[in-house]
Amino acid sequence: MSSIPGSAAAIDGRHPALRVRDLEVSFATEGGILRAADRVSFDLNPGRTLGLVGESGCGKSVTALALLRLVPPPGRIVGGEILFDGVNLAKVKENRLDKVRGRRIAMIFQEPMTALNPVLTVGDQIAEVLRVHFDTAKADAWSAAVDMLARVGIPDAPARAKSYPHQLSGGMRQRAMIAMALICRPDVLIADEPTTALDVTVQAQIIDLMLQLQQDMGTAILFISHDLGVISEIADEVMVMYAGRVIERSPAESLFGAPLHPYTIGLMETLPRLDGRPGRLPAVPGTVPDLRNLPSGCRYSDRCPLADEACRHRDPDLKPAGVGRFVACLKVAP
Amino acid sequence: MSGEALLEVRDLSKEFRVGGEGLFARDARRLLAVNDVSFSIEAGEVLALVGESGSGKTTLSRAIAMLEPPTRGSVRFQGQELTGLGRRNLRPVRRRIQLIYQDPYGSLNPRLTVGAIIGEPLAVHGIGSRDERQFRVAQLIQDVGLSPHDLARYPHQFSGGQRQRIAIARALALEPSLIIADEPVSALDVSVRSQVLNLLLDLRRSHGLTYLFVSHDLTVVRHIADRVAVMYLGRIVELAQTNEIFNNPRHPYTRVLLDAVPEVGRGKRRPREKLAGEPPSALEQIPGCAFNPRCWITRAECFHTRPELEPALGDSSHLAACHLRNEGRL
Repeated sequence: MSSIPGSAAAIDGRHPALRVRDLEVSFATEGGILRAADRVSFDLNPGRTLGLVGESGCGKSVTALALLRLVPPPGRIVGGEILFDGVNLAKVKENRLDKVRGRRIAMIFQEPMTALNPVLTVGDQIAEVLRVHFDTAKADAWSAAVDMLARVGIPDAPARAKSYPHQLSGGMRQRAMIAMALICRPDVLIADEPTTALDVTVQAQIIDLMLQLQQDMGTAILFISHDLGVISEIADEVMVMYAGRVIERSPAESLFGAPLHPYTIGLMETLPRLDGRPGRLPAVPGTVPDLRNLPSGCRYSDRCPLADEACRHRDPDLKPAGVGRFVACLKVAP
Repeated sequence: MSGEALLEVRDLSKEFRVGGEGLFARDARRLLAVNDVSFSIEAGEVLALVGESGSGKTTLSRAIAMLEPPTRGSVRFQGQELTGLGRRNLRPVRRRIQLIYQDPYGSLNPRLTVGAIIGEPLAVHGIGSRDERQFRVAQLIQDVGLSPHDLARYPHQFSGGQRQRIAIARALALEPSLIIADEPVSALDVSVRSQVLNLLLDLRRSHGLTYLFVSHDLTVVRHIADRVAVMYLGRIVELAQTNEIFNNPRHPYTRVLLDAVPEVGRGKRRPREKLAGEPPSALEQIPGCAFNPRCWITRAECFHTRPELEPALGDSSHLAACHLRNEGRL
């Protein structure tokens, strides 16, 4: 199995904050073993954002959860390495992992209500994080929480810190969750569709906020979204997943400027645009594949305009294609 | 614009009482979810209703279909006034106005075959014999790009996009004139979304349909709509031809919405100053223009006089509820 070097590794002479190599996550089901994430490799670098984009069932959320070993059963990590600070998180003992979760690698989700405790004020919850991880004194933790809430743009933070999650708007709740995630100044932030449930104007504000905080704190971000537009506004590098595989990884500019994989090309063409013309849109034929029923060979071969016999027999590996670019397609990188 | 209106909405309002049950009834507050809305749709037209959550776009669409009886105002459909009609008199109207929803998972009965789902409206309205209905259902499933073999299967055996096609086939069964589509492609994967949009456009032509297309997604609206109505806090704040809305918005809120759309090709985001605050609660009473707390071009009258939805200078089909609608490009 070929291991792919991290493309944007050691930018500015710094080391990646997190390296993932050949990560494999499987679900044992009645119908057999489903490979939800198959040989996924990437690096997360300080101060940079890797965008992970794909449609339903592509494995993007499973990949995110796997980084902190949070994949719900019957899913489990069956192969590969998650290297963080010299240890392999895929193998390390649970108590060691607890020192990493939330403190050095934090996570935010689509729906803050599921991550926030409804019976605690947001200030208390954020302060609690500091107290658990650093044993901070109560008063200090509270004032740090209030500072953090102000920093994520919550107006009148000292008063709002005393609010319960349901008393905040969706946008304010998402800001509170970001405050909670960043209070320990983690090296890595995993953001799984953090703006998907928000209105477009609020979404834009949250993206601006995340970019600003990243600049200040140097956090490495894995940003997961189904929305190519959102990814293009936040990511430095982009990874596209399809049916459990990474099918393309490129610096954002080159991916959006000239996508390589026929699937990425199809996705970009089918995207409705503000400056588009009225009327029919180019469409990708077929539907997103079911992991229980994958086509043989390349997983995109049944929808691909370029596919031939070879594509239906061989599942292509991710191979280099130009500077910092990788693609899994026999037609582009045989 | 020519032709006559298929649907004409005048001064429509929908009010909800919030809180204050029973003993506390005096504490109840009124929430004006839809506030004095007027517009019309011509036969064959696609009018998009856009806005963010809480703007009232879904409530308005449900009030038009008489699913939520309007509190005030008038809805005329094919010349007939719908407000005040009893259940029995609404029945024939419901055949001609059909709804499609966002969630193709929740809107199809999981225990019925696809054939039964599509044929149900025909059976309920007692249309045709059994055989005739079967024939019609087989035709409908092909109209939406699926196969008659699919009729014996169940909803869970289909993908999201296919389920939305089934919901569309069911909506078409009664040969409606107006389809109210509430976020019909929002839950679909990107690669499938354009297939369903194209289907809606094709059906409009082949079945002579008119759409009220409710969406939060301006890029989708760009492709499907002839005209666009932008809603903010229960009111239409701008209404114009699609091109005009996108190229020459006259209301600052429309500008904000357009700027906020994340789009490939704009590069990494730079913070924008025009994007301040969040929509206030509909319970709040804001004197003057409801957008004034977030607006960057206000002057004195914006704080005391509510702007009506009025034509812009030089373009009578471009309406905007802004005192500064004629003051140059936003």
